[in-house]
Amino acid sequence: MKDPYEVLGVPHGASDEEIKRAYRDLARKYHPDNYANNPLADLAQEKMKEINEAYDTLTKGGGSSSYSSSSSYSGSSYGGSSSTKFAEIRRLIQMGQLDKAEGQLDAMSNHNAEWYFLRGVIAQKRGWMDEAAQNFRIAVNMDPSNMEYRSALNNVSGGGYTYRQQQYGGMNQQDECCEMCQMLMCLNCLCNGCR
Amino acid sequence: MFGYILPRRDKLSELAKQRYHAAYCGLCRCLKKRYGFHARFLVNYDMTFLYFLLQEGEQKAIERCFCPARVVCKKDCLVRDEVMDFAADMSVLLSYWKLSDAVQDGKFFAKMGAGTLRLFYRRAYAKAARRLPQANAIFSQQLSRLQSLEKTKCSSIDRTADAFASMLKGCALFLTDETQRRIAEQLLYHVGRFLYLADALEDLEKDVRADRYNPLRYRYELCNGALKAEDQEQFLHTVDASIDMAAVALELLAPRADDELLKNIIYYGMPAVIKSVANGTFRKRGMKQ
Repeated sequence: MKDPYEVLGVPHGASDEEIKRAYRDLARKYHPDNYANNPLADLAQEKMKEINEAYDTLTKGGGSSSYSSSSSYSGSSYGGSSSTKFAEIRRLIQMGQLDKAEGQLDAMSNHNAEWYFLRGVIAQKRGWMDEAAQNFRIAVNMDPSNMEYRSALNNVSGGGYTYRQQQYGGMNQQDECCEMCQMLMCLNCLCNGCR
Repeated sequence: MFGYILPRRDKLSELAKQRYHAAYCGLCRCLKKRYGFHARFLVNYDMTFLYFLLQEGEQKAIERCFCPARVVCKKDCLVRDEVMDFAADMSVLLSYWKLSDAVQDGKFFAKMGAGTLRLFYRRAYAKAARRLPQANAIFSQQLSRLQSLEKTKCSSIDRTADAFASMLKGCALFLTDETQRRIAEQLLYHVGRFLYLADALEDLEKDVRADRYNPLRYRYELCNGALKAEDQEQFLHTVDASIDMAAVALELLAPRADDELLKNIIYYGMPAVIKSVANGTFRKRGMKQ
């Protein structure tokens, strides 16, 4: 097993507070919600597992980790399928057999909300965000009460916070060291003409 | 290739700026060494990004090198290594296929111009194709797919972008570790999608005037040769979703020596570029300086 301190990116002997903060930042970064219908979801899940284990080891299993690693990854949150046919298609999508799943959808004549939703999921997994949004929108219009469709739509059409906004409030903080560096560079420029 | 992959300079540290320029100059020098002087003109910032993305090793040193555009002063260059060589080969291949695309698409004069240039670079291309046969095969296959989609006036921006994005995805072939390659492929796919869509948005007005194919013409109903406000908003959301996908992939990639540059380009550069393309203030020269 990897060094738990290394996994969390904290120095050996870090305080509980530091460990907690590092854990929380990482958990937010690799949270299943960020990887919904993402072909890399399995990798994020592994990462999350590693982080959880590291945290549990360091806190001696005391406060067991608050983020679950297996909950809603790669669409296991798909709730109540209306028919076995759709359940089968969901299974295919989850296994990554997108072409096959699409073929089965195309062969169906009953185009209900779930049908459009699943087409959207396939498109999203391929990275076809525009078609995904179009299909999710139809699904939401046909069945406005379904939260699964709604959150999928939000995910691709900018309804909520984007991943980048969540992550990088803090990236633009330049520290003093950097500013000093900048000053030296400027000086260097002045003295040296061309760098 | 297009010049849409740029960092936001005001958010870069001085060191990162220096390394970014040094990679650009290093790539230019590498192109010359591998393909002769005229290949220097194929250097571009997009491939600089590719270099930083594929550079798995430690931070490469900077050395001073001669620059024909400066003559009297030397410039900083990153030392040449196999990643740099790969990025140079890719520059040649992608440029050549882009010229081929222009020969297919363009009106008479554009066609002649691109045709002449392509002739001029054919030997460099043949050399690059010999070095990277697999990538070359992907490019030629995806480009003909793109052209047939354009011929049928495909109204799906996803499908046309998919052909181009799959080309860029081919650049991940360089990585040997399977997981790392998978992540880089996903990242490059969305960067490619971003490139294609940004290009489509910027060229929309021109394409409407010249009656050329542009996926946005068939996907949305235009108003005076431009997107309606609500359509533009929707379009920008799909582009944003791609930037997000690239960011999510980057977080899974093993950390790179020049992580700051990669993060800056994806988190700040790409959103700034698409925003300025959308409001018409994007000038390639203006953004670079």
